[in-house]
Amino acid sequence: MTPRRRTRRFVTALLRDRRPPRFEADAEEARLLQVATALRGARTATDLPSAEFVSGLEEQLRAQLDAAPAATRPPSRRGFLIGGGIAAAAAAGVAVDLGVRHTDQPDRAAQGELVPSNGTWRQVATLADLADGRPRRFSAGPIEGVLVPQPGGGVHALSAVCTHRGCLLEAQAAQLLCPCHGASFDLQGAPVDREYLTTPLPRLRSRVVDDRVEVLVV
Amino acid sequence: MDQESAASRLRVVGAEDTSGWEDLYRAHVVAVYRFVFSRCGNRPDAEDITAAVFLRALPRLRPTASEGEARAYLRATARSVLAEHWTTHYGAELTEYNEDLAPSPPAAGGDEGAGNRRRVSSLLARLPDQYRRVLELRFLRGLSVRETAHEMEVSVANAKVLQWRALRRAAGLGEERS
Repeated sequence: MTPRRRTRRFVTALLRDRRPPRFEADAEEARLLQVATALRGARTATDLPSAEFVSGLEEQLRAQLDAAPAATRPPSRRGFLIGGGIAAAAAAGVAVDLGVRHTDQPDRAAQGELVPSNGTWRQVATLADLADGRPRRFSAGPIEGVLVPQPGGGVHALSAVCTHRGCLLEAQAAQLLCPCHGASFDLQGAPVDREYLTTPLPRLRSRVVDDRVEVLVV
Repeated sequence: MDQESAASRLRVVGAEDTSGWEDLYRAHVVAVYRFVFSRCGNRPDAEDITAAVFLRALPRLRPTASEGEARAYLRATARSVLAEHWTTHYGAELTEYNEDLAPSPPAAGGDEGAGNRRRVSSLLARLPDQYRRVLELRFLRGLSVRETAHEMEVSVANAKVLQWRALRRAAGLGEERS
């Protein structure tokens, strides 16, 4: 493979958030790889580790470092809080700074809920808007969400921020799709495949008053 | 105490006592990951390198190490694991693009990617407009080639050529020989 071609393959992988190919680089290629890496590493808000990685590595370290088996240790509540905090930061973006807290998770694969500590109910749609039964995106201040009409009536609301890299999801008829890297979620907010190490989308508090659909926001 | 001397002093700590490592891990994992990510630019490598940093550093770090000592030692370890990453996989030494030539001050608010962002923005500021823009759109904002072409009002083929030339220029290389 020509140097130019392999450097391009490296850059393409980098831009797709995949592990770049390895090869013996000459001095010129090395400069290109490293400048590409520095550029890609300078993205903001996407340089946080996933909650799954943080807790997975903790388990790996425990197996390696501790004589005591993990099963005999009390569950690490703080670990969940840290992990949840990162997931919430990635999922809620600015909303976290504005007083949304991530509720406790019974396990790290579970769906959290974003509840503003000082919230107000805001109308984001009417029932007529949801009459076609399809999910519908909304923005309400710092909250980017999606409304999911339920078969038996009622409406659920989910965060519409991808838990992979923080892009805004597109609402499709049967799924929520991330335009950035292709991660997708079902209409309950569960990740459809595990390739992206995504966590479930946090739920948002919602209610229907008369024909108004309201979401609790900060 | 500068980072290197903190690191060499901490390195002598015995490997037998690893109790209390969880607090150290939890306190520093995000900062280490961000430091590593800013120097490898992709998640799979950032995760592997971060894991290697903790596997190597934790047995050598006393739980009573001060916040600053632990941070300095983890940083020094991250630097050496990153250097190994580049030599093992690409036969390349680290250059100024992935490493501060001068020791960087402690990152404010645990944002260990801030130094890299400063370097990148000064690098971008020296580029011609079109080059700077294509790199911002593709690398920093993560737009596709098609979206980038649309934003820049050029053809897709043009956007690809621009990206390549911009990268070469940013790497301090001349016009392409081909």
